[in-house]
Amino acid sequence: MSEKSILLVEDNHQDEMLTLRALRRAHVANCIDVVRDGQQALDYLFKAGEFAGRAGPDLPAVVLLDIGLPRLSGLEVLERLRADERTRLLPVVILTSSDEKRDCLESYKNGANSFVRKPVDFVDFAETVARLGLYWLVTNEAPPDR
Amino acid sequence: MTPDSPAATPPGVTGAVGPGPAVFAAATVAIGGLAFLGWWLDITSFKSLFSDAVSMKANTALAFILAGIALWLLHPGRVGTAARRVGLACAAAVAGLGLLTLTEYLLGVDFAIDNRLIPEPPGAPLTSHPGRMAPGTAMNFCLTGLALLLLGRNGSGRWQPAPYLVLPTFGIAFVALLGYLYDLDALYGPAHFTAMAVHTAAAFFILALGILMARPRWGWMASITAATSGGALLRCLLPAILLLVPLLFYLWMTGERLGLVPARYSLFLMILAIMALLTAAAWWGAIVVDRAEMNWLQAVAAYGQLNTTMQEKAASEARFAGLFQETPVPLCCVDKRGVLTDRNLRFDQTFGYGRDELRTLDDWWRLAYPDPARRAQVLDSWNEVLAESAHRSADLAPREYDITCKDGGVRTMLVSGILLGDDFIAAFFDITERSKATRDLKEARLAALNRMEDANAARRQAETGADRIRLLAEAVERIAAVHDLPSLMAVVRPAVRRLTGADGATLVLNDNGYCFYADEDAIGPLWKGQRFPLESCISGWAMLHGQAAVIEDIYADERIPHEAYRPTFVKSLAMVPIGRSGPVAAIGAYWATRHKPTDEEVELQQALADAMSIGLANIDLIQNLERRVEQRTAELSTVNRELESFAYAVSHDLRAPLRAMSGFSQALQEDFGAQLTGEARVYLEQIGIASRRMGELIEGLLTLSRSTRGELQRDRVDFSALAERRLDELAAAEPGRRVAVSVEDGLVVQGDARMLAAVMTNLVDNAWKYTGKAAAASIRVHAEIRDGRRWYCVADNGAGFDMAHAARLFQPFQRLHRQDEFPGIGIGLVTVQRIIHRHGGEIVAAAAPDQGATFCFTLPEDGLSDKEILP
Repeated sequence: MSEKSILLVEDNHQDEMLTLRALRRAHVANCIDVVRDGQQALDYLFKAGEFAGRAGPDLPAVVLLDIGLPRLSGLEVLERLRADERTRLLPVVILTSSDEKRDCLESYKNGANSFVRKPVDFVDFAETVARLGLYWLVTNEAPPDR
Repeated sequence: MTPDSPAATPPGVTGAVGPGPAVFAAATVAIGGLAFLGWWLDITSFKSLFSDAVSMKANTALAFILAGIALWLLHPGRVGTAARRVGLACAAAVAGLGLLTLTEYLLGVDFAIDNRLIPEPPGAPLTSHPGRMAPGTAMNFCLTGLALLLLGRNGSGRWQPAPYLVLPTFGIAFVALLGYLYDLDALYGPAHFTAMAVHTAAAFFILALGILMARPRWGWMASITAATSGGALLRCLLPAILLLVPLLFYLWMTGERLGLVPARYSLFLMILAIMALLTAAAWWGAIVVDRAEMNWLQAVAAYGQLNTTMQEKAASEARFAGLFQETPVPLCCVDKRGVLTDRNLRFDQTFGYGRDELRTLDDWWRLAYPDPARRAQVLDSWNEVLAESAHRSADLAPREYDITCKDGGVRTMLVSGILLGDDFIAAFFDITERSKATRDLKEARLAALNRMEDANAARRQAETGADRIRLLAEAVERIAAVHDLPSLMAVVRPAVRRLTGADGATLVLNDNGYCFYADEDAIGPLWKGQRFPLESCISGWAMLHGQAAVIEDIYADERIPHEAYRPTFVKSLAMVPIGRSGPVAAIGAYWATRHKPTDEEVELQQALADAMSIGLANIDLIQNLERRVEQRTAELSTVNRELESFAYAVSHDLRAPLRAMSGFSQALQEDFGAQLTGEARVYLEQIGIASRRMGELIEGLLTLSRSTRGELQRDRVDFSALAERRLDELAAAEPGRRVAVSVEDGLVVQGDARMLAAVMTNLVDNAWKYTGKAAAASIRVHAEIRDGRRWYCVADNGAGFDMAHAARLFQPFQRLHRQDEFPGIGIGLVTVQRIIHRHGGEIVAAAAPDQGATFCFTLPEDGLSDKEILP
């Protein structure tokens, strides 16, 4: 389990706190890294920039990616990840406040593994996040390493 | 025909009768003179030619001298009364001498005249009375003297006595001469009387001949000298008989006397000779007569011809004179000096100029053309005619002149000249009336022609006018329908030719100071695609002046650049501007044969141009509109994009803080609920309520915004199913409520499924919500037909509302109920109305407080069959 981590890309600090609370309460919060914009996400994943030579596994088990991000949007980050051989198969879940049809469609087109809308109601939100964490860290089998 | 009239004497038959009387007179005087000289000088041989021959007495010689003088002075060739008197005196003396001597013989008396001059001695041979002339001589002097006296008489005729008087003289002298020839003394000297000397006889012969020759037409001489065949015969035969016969007889006698010819044959020879002579004479006479007759016949013929010619000439002259005078045309004769030699009555009557004032051509010019300038012109014209006439050797060609008459009137005359040698006759034909008549006729004919042309034009117009108007109307209609320049030109191009009947048409655009020949339709190439400066071509002229240019002969018009037209077929054209003020184009019509474009053609062309100008304006307008639509569309899509990003922001960014509020209040309650007091929990609950309400507002706004953007889908929408499912959900959410629900089956429409679902959900939710306090709530979803349209209705018996506030129903965030009565955000009906409107439908509400409300809407039925609507 310790081997596996989750990368949360979220610029909203309150959403981050609530997400982390939900994951903690579901007991999957042991290894969660958080970055706050698209560029940071890419640097983290490719171990570039400020994340060059970071410790821990090369890639997380799943990336929880918001769409509305500063600098690079979530969809752009997804596009870059899918264009790079190292991250082409990395599981990415779009976790967003938007329920726009267009965002959903674009996410899948760009190779998102899942699209999840953050419920406004906190109870629903906490539940959803807990299920996500359990599923991607426990249930889902990651693609084999090269 | 008078024989004595010289004019009547045929030519060539004049009496050629020998030498004139002067010769005879001279001979007579010479013989007498010689004899008298002999007496004077006593030369015997002068007195008597031979010895022993009788002498010519002195008296006789003197008488011959006088007779000769008389003959010379009295013959008709002489003139002068003095000579005539001397001649008459001489003649009277001769006759008197003869008469006295004869009286002496007859009465045997002696008047002592015989030897008065020069006495003759007695014993002279053959002389009975010395110095006295022979009785025959005296007789002869008597006769010849008388004849000479009568010779001076005037008149003529066969009965003049002179020739008859000399006839015995001839006979006596002739016989005497024969006597001497044949030596027969009885012939020249009657017994016992003095004989006649031989030269006396000869002198008488000559004298008598002289007298006869002096008057060759008198008495019997007329027969001899006549130019007739008889005369000719006489002139031929008489010498033969009177001279040759005696000569033959003399030869015969001489021969016999000398014994040259035997006596037996001499008479025969004589007779033979006479026969030969007579035969020859007769023959000769016949020839002469024939010749004379031939001459005569010719002469007669010639004379006849001449006579006829002369008569004809005379008659012709008479006729000409009559004609000249009487001709009812003014005539005048002008000779080569320019003098008017004659003029006829009509000339005088017509012009009225007197003969004194009008003598020469110069007078004529001055009188007939009083205006000097006009006169100079007329003189030029006249000289031209003269030169032409001289050049062609023809009469003077007729020309028209306006001639001023004496009375001041001006008459139009056609003047021609007839050449007669060096003269000419001018003839004046009065065409004043004719000219006037011609002018009148011309005017009348013109008027008639005009009327005919008008009539024709009217007919043509009636025939073609309707066609052309129809063509024009069609063209205008099509012009109105086109939206771009190429289509417009394609419509106008052929219409110009059909309307005007031209052989070619061009469309010229004003292209920044150049005429651009944008399009053409013609029998031969014109200038399509070319550009010319506005100032240098006719289309430019039409555009700059804003008026039509109609040109019948383009090569006679300065506005036309001729070089540009030479390669083309164009002879005539009409160019009209398009747009009357500040034209932007022009339409040209061209003809291959010279043609004057009619007003009608030009008007039609102009009408077409006006239509085209409207067409151009339309194109402008349409293109403007299209541009504006594009602009609006662009603006709208910008707004749409802004709206979308706003909606996105609302849906994404507003939810996060809301989630944070509700999330942290929830977390506070869960994590620290045990430490909170009752009042703190109430506050936390209020935060949760506000968060939920905020969430609903956000949801409503998102729905509203989505209802006005995005493509409308064409889906099959089943209202019945939608309503039932929603009512089921509501009933499940509030199981405690008892609501009578009635949903009509088969309410199926075409439209955007997601939007129409929102409509049905909103209406049903409202009905559910507002029947919440009703005792026996009922909700009914059904369709009904009103005003021929199908209305879909959701009716309830809930709280209803006052229709006075109905206007606020469809305003966003406006509510008719308090939150504590019926919570809501006031966005549902606004969304419903927008969706219905976007579908092209209509929505109405009917309600009363506590009596419920009914919302009905329509949707366009296109694409929906009745079967689908009414199962």
